Amino acid sequence: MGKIKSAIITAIVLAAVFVLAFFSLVSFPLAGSDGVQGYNSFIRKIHLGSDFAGEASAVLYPEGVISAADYSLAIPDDEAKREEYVGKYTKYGSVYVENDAIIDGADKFRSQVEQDAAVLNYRLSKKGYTSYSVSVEDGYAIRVAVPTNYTYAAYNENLRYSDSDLRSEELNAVTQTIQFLAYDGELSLRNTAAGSFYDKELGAYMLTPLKENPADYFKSVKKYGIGGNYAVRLNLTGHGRSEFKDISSSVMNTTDDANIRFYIGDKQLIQLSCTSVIDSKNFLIQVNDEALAEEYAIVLDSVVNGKILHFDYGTDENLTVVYSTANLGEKAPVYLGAVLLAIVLAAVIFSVVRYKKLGLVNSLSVIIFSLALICAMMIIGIQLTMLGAFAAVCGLALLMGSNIAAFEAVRRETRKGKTIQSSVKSGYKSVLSTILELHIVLLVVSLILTLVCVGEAAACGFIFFICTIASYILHWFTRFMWYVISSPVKDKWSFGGYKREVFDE
Amino acid sequence: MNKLRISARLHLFVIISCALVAIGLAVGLICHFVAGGYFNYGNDYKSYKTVTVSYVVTEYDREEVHKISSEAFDAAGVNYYGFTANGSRLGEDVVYKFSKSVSDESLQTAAAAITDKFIAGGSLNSRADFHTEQTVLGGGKALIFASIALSAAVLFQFLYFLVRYKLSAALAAFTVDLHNLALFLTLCTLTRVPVGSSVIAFAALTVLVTMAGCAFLFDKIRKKNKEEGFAALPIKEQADICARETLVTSSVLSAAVAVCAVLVFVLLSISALSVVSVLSYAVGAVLMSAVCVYGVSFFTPALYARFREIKVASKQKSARNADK
Repeated sequence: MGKIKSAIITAIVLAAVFVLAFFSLVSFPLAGSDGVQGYNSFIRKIHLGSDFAGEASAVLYPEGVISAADYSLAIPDDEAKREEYVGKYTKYGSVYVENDAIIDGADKFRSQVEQDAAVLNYRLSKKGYTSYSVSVEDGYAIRVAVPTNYTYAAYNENLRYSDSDLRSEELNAVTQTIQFLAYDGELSLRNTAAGSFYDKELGAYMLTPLKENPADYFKSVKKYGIGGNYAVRLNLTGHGRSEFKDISSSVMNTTDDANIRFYIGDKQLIQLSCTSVIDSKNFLIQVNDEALAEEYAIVLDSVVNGKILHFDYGTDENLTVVYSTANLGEKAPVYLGAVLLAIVLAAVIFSVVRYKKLGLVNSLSVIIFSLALICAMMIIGIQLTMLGAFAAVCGLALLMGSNIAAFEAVRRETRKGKTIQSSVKSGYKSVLSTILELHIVLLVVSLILTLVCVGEAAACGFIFFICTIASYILHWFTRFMWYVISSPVKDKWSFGGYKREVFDE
Repeated sequence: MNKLRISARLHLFVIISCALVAIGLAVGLICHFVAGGYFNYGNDYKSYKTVTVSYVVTEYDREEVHKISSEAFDAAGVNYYGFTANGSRLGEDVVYKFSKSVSDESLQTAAAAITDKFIAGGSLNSRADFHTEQTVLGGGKALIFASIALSAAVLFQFLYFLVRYKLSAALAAFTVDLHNLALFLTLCTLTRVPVGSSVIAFAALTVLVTMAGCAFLFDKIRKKNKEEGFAALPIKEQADICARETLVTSSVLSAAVAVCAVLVFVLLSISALSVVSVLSYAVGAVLMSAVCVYGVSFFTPALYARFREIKVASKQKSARNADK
């Protein structure tokens, strides 16, 4: 390759890396906003797990249970009322329980709370969080904690361009999730104008006969999405199909209300507008966004599978979701960034010291790998946890290992007295199958982790999957750039820190 | 080192491994009934207790609250293992987490002391409450799925080795993988290392390092078989020679992976650096490394030689039958 061609290719690659590095790492004020608004770099937009960005939690109190703080705040000043108020509650640990609420005994109440915690745990497990926890607090309340899904820009309020919008968006999303997933009671199908019988108390018609449980009509309920549109897909049983045919035709014939309303307990979750008779194995109900579709599907699926909450936790009116600092300490994301930077720098320094200018080529691959990973994580929206960061470092080690194996194979070839071009060719050829096999094996293992595992381990598997692909591509990119950059260099031996072997005749 | 006879000691290795697994099972079962779990589940999965200090931010700042709380905990003789802060209606809550084994009375005393201190300071709305948190083992599901994924990875390795080497090598590698995983989990049970995401990572590394170690050994055997005279040696001797030659590589690989993993984990959790967390990573890595060295360098050659002998014997038997 000629000097000019080599210089042009090198310049284009370096310029692309520089631009990518600039947008990935540098945040700056937006022009025309007088420094008020700013651009946050890609690295600040990576979503962080609860290790690094804390968790959002809520304590759910069943009806009739209040916290010690709420109890103290509500004690009336008037002595007569105070006596009545104090007599109304019994203290259990750090909660106060209304005496009327535990008519069947405290043990039964606690056992039902434990069952509810298990149901909530089941529902949350379907959300695919990297981590979450459900615990019974003081025996009478349930504490739910999920990752905030904040980016660093949202997590650090003191940043110049802190993303407060995302902060409130994510907290609202968690609030909505906990609100829906804590819906209690059984499934009922209702309509205001037609049905099997009229429930005076509820002021609505029940679309199913009194003896039947509408949950038996459904096999399962899943989220469905295509082309940015989302829906809830309800899969009917054989009996459900024939019943739904009758229900939909009766609802369709009413002029006042052509909707089948799906209620969980006394709260309407979703409604289906009937424009035709439903006579199929499944049907879809369109909803506004993916999160809603997922939450409706989880709650309905849980109810049709008999996983029902016993208590009303009042999440529609009285839900306080609080955000807590990172489990690894408040400044954990900063330390994470510093450690990952140190690891990349160590890789660069090692390469340059051991392989001279060839080490610079390897360093370029290492930098591209790091930037590619930042971009991929930002675009795909994978949550970065400690295990995920470990997987990323393993990916970097894989790239370094592959390149070093190739460089050392070339060194071995040079010792046989071959020219540098011939050594590179045969060196890469000798490790070709090993490196390809290694990448394929790791790719399959990471794919298995991604598809089989849940939560953090799945996210970690997916990060390693991306890393393995990037590593293999960059292994060959290193070979290409070695050829491009070393082409105009006269002393190709010293370029890679190799020594020419002289053999006596 | 040159006189190391590994292949003839299969019975010894089987006895050692079985004894270890049996002890681990016994200890795990005892712990299941008396110590709250077969494994010592990490902070992600286990139940805990908390003292939640809610304070009015206009009256106190977080440092003052820390000081008051620490004094109360010291007086009650309890130590917390972590804390988080979050906003509340009053201002801010600081949640101190304690191990499940800490006594309720001590924590109640500490919480009451903190509340008294607030009242003495004129703050009637700031208070401290003691809570017990009985965690539903939701995270346990992550462990179950991780186990399924690891099993699938082991199965994949078997298929890969079957294609790349021969059935006896694939069977040996498959058995060693299961052996190493069982031994690693047994040692986790015995040492009571907190089982969390780091143990999942070390278990995955156990499979990968075992796979790499087995590949080194079988590659060496295949390469040596091309040498003159090697193929004529008894099977056990062949395996011994190759095991000796790959011992250093396998050991260095295991140790290097363990050291790197510990370094990375310690560095990544540097913001919450505590002796306990560093120790758990270090112990996990040492266990992984020890299991891999033992499994790959000692158990694999012995097992592989036995499988090869069975294969040769069955071939000879079928040949004799054919002759008859």
